[in-house]
Amino acid sequence: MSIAAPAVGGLARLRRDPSALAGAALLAAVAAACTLGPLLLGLDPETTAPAARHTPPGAAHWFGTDALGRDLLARVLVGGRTSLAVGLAATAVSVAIGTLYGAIAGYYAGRVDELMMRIVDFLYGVPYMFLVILVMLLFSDTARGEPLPVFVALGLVQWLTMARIVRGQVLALREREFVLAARVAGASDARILLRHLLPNALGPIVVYGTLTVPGVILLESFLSFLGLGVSLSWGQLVADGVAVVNPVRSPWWLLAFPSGFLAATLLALNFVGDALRDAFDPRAVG
Amino acid sequence: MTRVRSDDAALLEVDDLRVHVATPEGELRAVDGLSLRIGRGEVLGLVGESGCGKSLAALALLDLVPPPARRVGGRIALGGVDLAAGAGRALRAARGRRIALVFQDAAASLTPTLRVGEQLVEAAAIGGASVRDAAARARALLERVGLGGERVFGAWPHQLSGGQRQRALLAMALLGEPAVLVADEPTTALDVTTQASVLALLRELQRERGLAVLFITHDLAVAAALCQRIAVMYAGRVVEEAPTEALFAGARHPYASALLACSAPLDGPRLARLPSIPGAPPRRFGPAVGCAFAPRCPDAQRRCVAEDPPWVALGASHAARCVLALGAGDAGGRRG
Repeated sequence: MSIAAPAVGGLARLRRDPSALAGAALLAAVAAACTLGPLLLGLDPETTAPAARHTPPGAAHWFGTDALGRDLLARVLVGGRTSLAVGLAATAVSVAIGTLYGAIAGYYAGRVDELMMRIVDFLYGVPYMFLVILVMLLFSDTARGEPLPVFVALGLVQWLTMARIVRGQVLALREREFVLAARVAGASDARILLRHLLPNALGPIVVYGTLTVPGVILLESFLSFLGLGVSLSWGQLVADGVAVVNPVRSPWWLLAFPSGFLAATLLALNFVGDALRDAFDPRAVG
Repeated sequence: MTRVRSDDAALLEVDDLRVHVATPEGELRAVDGLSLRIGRGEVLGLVGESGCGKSLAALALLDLVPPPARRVGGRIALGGVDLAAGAGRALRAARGRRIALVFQDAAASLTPTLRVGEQLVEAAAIGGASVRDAAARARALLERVGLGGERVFGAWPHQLSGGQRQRALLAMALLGEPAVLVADEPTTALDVTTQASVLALLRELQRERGLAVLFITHDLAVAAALCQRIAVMYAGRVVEEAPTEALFAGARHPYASALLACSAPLDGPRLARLPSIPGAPPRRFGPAVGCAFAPRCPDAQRRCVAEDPPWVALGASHAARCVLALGAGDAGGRRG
């Protein structure tokens, strides 16, 4: 109720925000295209056609083809599925762990906070790529190239910053008088945390959460580059595109389309994130 | 030990309440043996300047003293049962249901992300009521404090005026049907006209529910308007306690009379200059003997510094903690 309530008034405000609308529309379009597009157009991302290699964009292949003659449109759309799924799932993992961890540390403060945040500091000190590789290796060989280990690994790395943000918010909020007032009314720790503190920290959580999605998508592409990611994603396609760019006769479309989709999606996510932050803050009504 | 009390059937009895604050200079004795009695349906004013420990005392009554301060001792009995025993568990259980607290800053006391109605319903539901019951009671109480209708129920705290927020907070405090209401400077943040209407409401509610109220303020005029008895607090202790008229007619403790002299009389002649008490309130560390007010007292004697002042009974329910009062009354039992 507490979270839903501001959102109801917030949705009305969201509708009046043109950049948020454009961002949401773009995200919806990209998501719809990625999920339904390949089926509707009858395209397969893995069908090779040696004769049609490096075909520029045209009527037969709207986005052109790659070095093996595979249709780039199909590959961008199917790759988008992975990228969006990795971004959302890893963010969900990171938000869930980070919020809970940070909220507990911030609420109980003192020694609990000290210990919990030193653990976070330690994990920060470990190179994240090392952690990711470690997690990936924990999964069996059969799971390699599958999305699940990537979700888990990225989520486990990303929650650290979220934990710090939430901890800082809760630490500041717990000193506010309304927390004392809730305690006077006899509210339990869990109720104070969930009803009175976290809704007030929602702005930063939502904003950092939406920033995490593009961050994770980029991180996944880096993993793909190292051969640890998911086999077909935007990051992988961009990496492939970069590899074939040359000043003489460049198959520019191999870089332009995947990176265009990637950039547009990241931009749309940022617009939506900004608007969500405003929508979740009832004080912004004016 | 003669207790300076007319009514022995006190509802809330506070004895020797102590709150210490750990500071780099040592243990600060912020509340230093505070004793109070409030009868059923009685309004007791606790008056003192900033830093005398009155707010900490209020928080201690609900086991809400924030670190580095902590309640180190004292008995807090409600209806004869000591709630302070057992690490304060009974005090926490009494919060909101038997003892309620209204803060000074209503804007800060309402959670900004919950609608006013939701907060009241929540507070009622904590008391064990079903959601439908809680909502009905929340609406009824809002109506009672003059905030009826859907507009306030569905409003965000920031959309209300200061007076409306304080009324909503008052309604929230009364949801648990407490026997004792502790009001910590509930009208200080309001302008004078709003203050008057909130005070009038508080008085009405107090009478109609037979509430025992501990009204904490630094404003003697406000205390006089609302309270039957007034306890003047200095450096963590009550230095004088008397029925309101008796205190205004003749305060016996030098601090209490100085405080009275410092407040401008509303109907008296206009003073050229409001008197003030020279010096600053002390910060008492560790074990200290002597009267805390002695350094600022115009009539201080040698024994004021050498020994703790006695609690002197001066009348039916009038007493002062001062050697100068000794001639008039006989030394009673020292409270705390």
